[in-house]
Amino acid sequence: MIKISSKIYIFVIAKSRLFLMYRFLIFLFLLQASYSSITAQNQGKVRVYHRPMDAIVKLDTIKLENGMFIELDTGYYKIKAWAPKRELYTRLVRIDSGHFKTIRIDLDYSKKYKRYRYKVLAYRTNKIVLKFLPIAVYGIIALNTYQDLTHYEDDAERFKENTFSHKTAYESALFEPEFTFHKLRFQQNKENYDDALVNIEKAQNNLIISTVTAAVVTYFGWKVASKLEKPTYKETPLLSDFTLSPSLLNGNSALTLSCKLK
Amino acid sequence: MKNLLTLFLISLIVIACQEENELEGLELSNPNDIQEADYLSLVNIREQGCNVITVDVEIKSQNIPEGLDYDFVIIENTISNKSRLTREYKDIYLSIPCNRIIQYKLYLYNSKTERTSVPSNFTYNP
Repeated sequence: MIKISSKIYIFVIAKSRLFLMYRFLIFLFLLQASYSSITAQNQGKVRVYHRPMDAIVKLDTIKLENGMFIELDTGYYKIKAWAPKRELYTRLVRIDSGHFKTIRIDLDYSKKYKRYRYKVLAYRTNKIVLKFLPIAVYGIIALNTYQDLTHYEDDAERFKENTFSHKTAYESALFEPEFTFHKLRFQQNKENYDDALVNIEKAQNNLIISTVTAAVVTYFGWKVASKLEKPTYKETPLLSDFTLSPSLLNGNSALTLSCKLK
Repeated sequence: MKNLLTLFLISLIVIACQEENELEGLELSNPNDIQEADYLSLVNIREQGCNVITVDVEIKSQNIPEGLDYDFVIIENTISNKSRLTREYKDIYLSIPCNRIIQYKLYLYNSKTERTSVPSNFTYNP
């Protein structure tokens, strides 16, 4: 079995002949190694690109690294891939003699996790709605009513001024048409002023009712919102990061337990 | 939460302040706004025939309010509704129905503003 190191460290010896000779030797070594690997009997190579990057990918019991080739005997292998919150991926792979095989795995979110995300969304929405919707609705109503109120108050002020002005004009009038004109205008403006006051009172009552309602609804909304339970997500790992494999240790057969430490 | 409820309470107090009716009990009063005034009268009535009389206009200046400027007098026949605008206050010819009581409305008139005063009534009984 020939293994090719993934990284070759070259110590740079600038402008020396020795460095050129080293480079030539390394080239020859790589050429020979790749030739040997391709022509090796009953063996093929496989590599897996997976997403997400933290997924655990196993070919039977062998753990695979993202994008790294592994040399295997020909035959069928079961490939399994899993990552937290993702569906378990299983596939049968055939390794042919002298072939390179690249497999791409894109793990989809699990149904359980999707349900959890929906529940979290519902939880957040409910909390926001219960806490802030009454206030928002009240805000809109209050703003409209306040605008009406301002409008009626302006009207009342205008009618009041007009009433006083016609009263003054009437009281200083000397000719017949002026009496009638200012008296009529005085009455009209006084009535309009009274109507404006009635409208102001109505708007104030509406505002009081909506304020009390908003206060009560907000109070209970916050109470209910604080009792809502936040969904939690738990899952059982479907693929272990641990690898148990047979090996030779000081000439004796042994089982090696390995795991990736982050 | 408490802050919100406090805010609602403050809003309630502010909103609950009622607007007072500042025009309540406000009435109009003008001593010159009367149905009938005593500014003018017809005096010195002379019959010229069955249907014509001559009159002089008496202007009661003491009754006329200050500021009531006029330059004409209007004599209105209430039967025929015909009006006579005059600057002369003496020897004014008026046509009347024979042997009938007739009422005249007398106005002070300002030709610049085209305004008339409250009428002074005068009844002629032949």
